[in-house]
Amino acid sequence: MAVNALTARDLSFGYPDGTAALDGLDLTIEAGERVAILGPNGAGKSTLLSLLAGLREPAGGEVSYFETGKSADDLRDRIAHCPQAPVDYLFNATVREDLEYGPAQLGIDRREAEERVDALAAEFALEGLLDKPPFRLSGGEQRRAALAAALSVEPDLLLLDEPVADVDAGHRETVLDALDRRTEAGMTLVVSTPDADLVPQVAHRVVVLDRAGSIVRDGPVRDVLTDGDLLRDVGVSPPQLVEAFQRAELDNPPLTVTDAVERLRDLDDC
Amino acid sequence: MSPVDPVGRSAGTLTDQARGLLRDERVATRSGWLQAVHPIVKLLGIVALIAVTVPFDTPGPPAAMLGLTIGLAVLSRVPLATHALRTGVPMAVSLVIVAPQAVLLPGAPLLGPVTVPGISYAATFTLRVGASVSLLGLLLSTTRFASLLGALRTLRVPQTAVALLAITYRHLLVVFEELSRLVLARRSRRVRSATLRESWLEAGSLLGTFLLGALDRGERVGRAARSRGGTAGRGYPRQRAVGLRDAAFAFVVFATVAAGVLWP
Repeated sequence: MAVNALTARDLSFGYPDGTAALDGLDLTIEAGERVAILGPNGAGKSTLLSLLAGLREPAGGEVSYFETGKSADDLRDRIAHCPQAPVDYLFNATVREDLEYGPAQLGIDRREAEERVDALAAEFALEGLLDKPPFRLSGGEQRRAALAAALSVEPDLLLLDEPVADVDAGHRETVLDALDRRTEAGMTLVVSTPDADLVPQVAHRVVVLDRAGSIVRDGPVRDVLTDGDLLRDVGVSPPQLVEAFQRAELDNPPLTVTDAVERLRDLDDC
Repeated sequence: MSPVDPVGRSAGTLTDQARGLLRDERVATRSGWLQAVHPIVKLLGIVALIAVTVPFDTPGPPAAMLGLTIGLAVLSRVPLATHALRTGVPMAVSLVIVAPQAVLLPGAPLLGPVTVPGISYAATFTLRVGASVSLLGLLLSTTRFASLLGALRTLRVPQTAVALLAITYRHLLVVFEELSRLVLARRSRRVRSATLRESWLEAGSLLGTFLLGALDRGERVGRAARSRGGTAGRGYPRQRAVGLRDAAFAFVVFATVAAGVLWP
């Protein structure tokens, strides 16, 4: 039986101005799962992610990790959170120091940290940027550097807010491949995004939030993303491929380009 | 930014200067004399030079020390205009504070109510401030901040003090980056020249938004640091062996301190 990487019970949160962001939310994520939190702007996705990462105090409820009974602060070597704005995440003088920051705080041996930094720099195409100040990088470069910094602690659970925003097409594959490799090795991934097209590329399960911050649907990606009415009701556009196939009144719409090519070939053969 | 936009101009200048001072490590990474000195040797040497400057009650030794710092700045390829500005402003402020002593201290008159002991005291005080600030400026501009923190840790400075320094530095960066964004946004949306009155009225709103924005951004950066294992600012020291440049700098410090101690 798989261990739960994360269990949130009756989680509530309100902003200082009195606006309730989340109210009585329950969520359980098993170790090794790939989950997308999908919702419109203002649904509280980023707030939920920071609550799940133990970076905000909930007004009510609790979050437990790996069934250990320990707080998130005690498990920073296992839990990583990469926020929506990478510029908030990269606060050191150089990209190299930012990649070393997590391992240094956690007391990881310097030699091992340097090996990790070199490997991450190669993986995320950051070699030429290591000695630059992070604020001089472009938005996409900052995003890749922030993700590499989050992965430098080799987490078991990664909470990722809008992972490929600002990233160009070429590097988007780099980022998605890196996430694939980590999840295949057992890392639990929770991604928040307003982009339904991204969901099939990063997740197997999707949790849909409405504007009130309530979970309106939680299930396998195919079941949820092919429910166009539900997505439109909460203010999210269905994936373009789903939309196209449904408008053409074709059943079993594909979720990825690869699936779509196969379907089109099948249709052509018919 | 319009020519009659004192708020935007002031905020922009302040932001550029502060960000330059805090973040620009180009001088620290240049090939120069002080840059080649080991951070620990440099830190101890600068502290020793400041300590030997402060006790003097005549203007000669602090003036000589100020001269020495200018020489060190030249050897270290520190931009002299910037260094002079960073040193000159605190000196000017000190002079304003200490100037009344020029007439208040009793003694032989020099010019009108100004006395010789009074002018000597004001000059000594101002030069002491100038020499000390110049030495600190050299330390900060020729040493990367991470190396400085590493040196403090190696010297067993209490962890709380080092962490406070690291957090303060990071927060100052965040604050000035927030101000920079605000100034840029304000500038990009200005469609006509603001009058002085309009600028003055906008200043209140700018300040309020800036403070709220800086607080919010500071919290986000704090959360990011927490999510990465803490805010202690620990880092891996870039250690290297002590070499000839370190010995040369140590000799300069030793000779200067000895001269200061033996000064009649």
